[in-house]
Amino acid sequence: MTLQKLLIELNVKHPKGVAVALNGKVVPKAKLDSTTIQQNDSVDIVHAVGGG
Amino acid sequence: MSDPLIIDGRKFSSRLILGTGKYRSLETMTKAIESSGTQIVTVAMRRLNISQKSRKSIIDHIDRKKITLLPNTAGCHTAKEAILTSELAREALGTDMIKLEVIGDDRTLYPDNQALLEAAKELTRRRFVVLPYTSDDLVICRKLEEVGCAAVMPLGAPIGSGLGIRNPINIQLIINSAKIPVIVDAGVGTASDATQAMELGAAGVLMNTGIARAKDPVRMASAMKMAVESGRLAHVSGRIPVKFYGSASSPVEGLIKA
Repeated sequence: MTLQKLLIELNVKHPKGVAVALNGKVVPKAKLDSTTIQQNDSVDIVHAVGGG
Repeated sequence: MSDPLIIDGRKFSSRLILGTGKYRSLETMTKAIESSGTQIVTVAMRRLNISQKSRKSIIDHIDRKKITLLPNTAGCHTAKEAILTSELAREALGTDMIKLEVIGDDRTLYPDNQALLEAAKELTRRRFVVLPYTSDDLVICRKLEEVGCAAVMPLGAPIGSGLGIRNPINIQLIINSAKIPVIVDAGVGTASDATQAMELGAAGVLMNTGIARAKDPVRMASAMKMAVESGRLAHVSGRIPVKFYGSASSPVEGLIKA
C-alpha cells in the first residue's frame, strides 16, 4: 500500500496542513503516492494544534 | 512601517507574538489574536487523532494572509525529536520558521541548552529560520547566535508561571550583547511584565498563558498590545538616569519668602 492510499483509508482528506513521516523521516507530499509501506513500518501523521 | 520587528529580513509591525494553546474556545482565541494586533502566532505539532470525526484544523481559524505561523517543537526532549518535529512542521505548514524548544526538566520546563544548541546547529544547516526558547543566560544566547539563529528567546520565568521577568539584569546583559533580536518568551503574567521586557530593550515578547488563561482573554490581549507598544516607545525614547535624591521640577529662583 502507498502512503497516499493509507491517508485516504484513514479519511485524512486535508493533506494541506498535514505531514507524514515514515520510520522517522519526512515524506514530501509529492512522494506520498510513490512511497509504499511494509509490515512493521512506523508512520506518523501530524498536524498543527494550539500551542505556545 | 515605522520601527518594525525584523526577523531574518522579514518585517513585522507588531512586536507581540502569541501562543494559541490553552484557550477555552477557538472563538476566544481568534478574537484575542485580533485584539492583540499580533502578526505571528505559534502552533504545536501533534499526531492526528484518526478516530476523530471532525477534521477542522486550528490553521483554518488563522488568516495566513495577515498572520505568520511559527510552529514550535514543544514537548521535545532530545535534539533528534526537535529536528524531526521541525521537518514535519515545514512540510505541513510550508514555513521555514521554527520556535525551537528542547525541554530538559519537566517541572520547571527549563530548556536543555546542550541539546538545544545541537538542534539549532543542525536546523540552521538545513536552512531553517531558528528562534530558540532558551535560559536567560548570556553565554548560551551568544552560542545560539554564533550557530546562525535568527533570534534568541530567553525566558522571563517558567512557561505558564506568570512570575514576570525574574532576572531583568540577565535579560539586559543578553540584549546588550546580542546582534540578533532578543524576544522574551514565557513568564509574562500581566501587562507591566511585557512593558518591562520592552523597556529593557527586548525586540519583542512572546506569550500564551498570560492571555489565554486571563479571566477575559480578549481584553487582556488588548492590554498586552498596549503594554508592548508603550514599553517599546519608552525604550526608544531614552529614559532618564536613576538618581537617589530629588531634583526640583520648578525653578529655584524667585522663590517667595515669608
